[in-house]
Amino acid sequence: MKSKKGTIFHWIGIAVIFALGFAVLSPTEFGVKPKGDWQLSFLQYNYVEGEKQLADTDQLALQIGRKTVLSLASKGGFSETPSCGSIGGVNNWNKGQDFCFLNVDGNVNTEFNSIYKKYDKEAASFTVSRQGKELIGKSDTKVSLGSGMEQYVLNSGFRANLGYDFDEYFLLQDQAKKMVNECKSAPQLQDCLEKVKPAYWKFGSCDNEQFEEKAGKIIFCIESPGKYAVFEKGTFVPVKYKVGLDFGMN
Amino acid sequence: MDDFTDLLSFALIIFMLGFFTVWIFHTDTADKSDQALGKLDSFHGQEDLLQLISAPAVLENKNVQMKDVILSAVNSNNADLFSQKMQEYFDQQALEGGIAVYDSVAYGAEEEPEPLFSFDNVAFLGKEKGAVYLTNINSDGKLKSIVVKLFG
Repeated sequence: MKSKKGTIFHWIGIAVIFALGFAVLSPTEFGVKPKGDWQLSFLQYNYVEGEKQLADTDQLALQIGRKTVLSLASKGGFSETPSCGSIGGVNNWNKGQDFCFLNVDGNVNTEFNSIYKKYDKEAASFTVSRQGKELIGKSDTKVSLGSGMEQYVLNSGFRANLGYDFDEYFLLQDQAKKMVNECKSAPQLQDCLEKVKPAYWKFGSCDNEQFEEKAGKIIFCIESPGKYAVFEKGTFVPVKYKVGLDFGMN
Repeated sequence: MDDFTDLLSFALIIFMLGFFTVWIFHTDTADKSDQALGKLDSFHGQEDLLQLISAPAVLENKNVQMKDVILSAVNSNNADLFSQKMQEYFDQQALEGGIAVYDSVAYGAEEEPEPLFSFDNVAFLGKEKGAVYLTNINSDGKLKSIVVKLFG
């Protein structure tokens, strides 16, 4: 009778071949995993994608912000017609002795969101504030990237440097108040204004200055005292304010 | 004699098993390291792209960002402006490779879309480092995205 004690080794051999076959064909990953693999994937597919979206949002906000600057300037800083009324589509800053309160922050916020909605009707509303020459937008909407354990959530806000300071409105309103106070009872309104108004305040139009009075009301085009210009359609457009002042004391 | 053969076979199998295990693990580690380095390289490529679009640039003696230059070039169809600013940036950063800008619609629809503009300072562009979409209010006042791709 032949001894079968050695057959165990043959079975081991067969088992090893099966094990190797399983290791090669199995979808399970064997072996060591390099350090930082998960972290790199997370950075690549979540953080970098998030930064790209923020860069895009910032750029769109910058373009909208520039349009906001020009649009508000053409309306004397008011997003809607003020209670002081308007002359020929130009908003008045005062009605007799009373100046209409120019809420710069509120108007910037309203105008920015109004223009933004024109381009993207489904866009979230932003709460826009100013910090020097920058516009900062905050929204309740969150951007969520990834899924499950690998989730990256960020605020969909923006920060855009307009290279323009809305505080110019305060300087111009102070100058307007001074002009109205000094010239309201002047017999020769034009002569008085010529003496009082700064050179960047132009009668009627910035390109073709012409004095024109209608019942004590005068339209001004004001060149930006800080010589601000915003980048629009591939060129720098100078900021020009259109404002109506009422010198009639009725 | 049989016992001796069995023992020899067993020793041979153990040796082969050990050899294959070490070989597989070694290959596996090398592959994974290459993969990790590839991902790291790709991450740095994406960073280069983000840096490029946010880099400061000068237009008409005023400070803007490279995103502005790219969008301005697209809106005014100014290939010279694009090439000049990219040349300056690539020289300044000692970058080798290229950049291409596509219309997002063509980019999504065509297999090999024709770029609106491109710039390179090498004979062969190399692999794609990253791509980013930028929303553009174009000259006719409508939103239209572009795609900026960096190669190197």
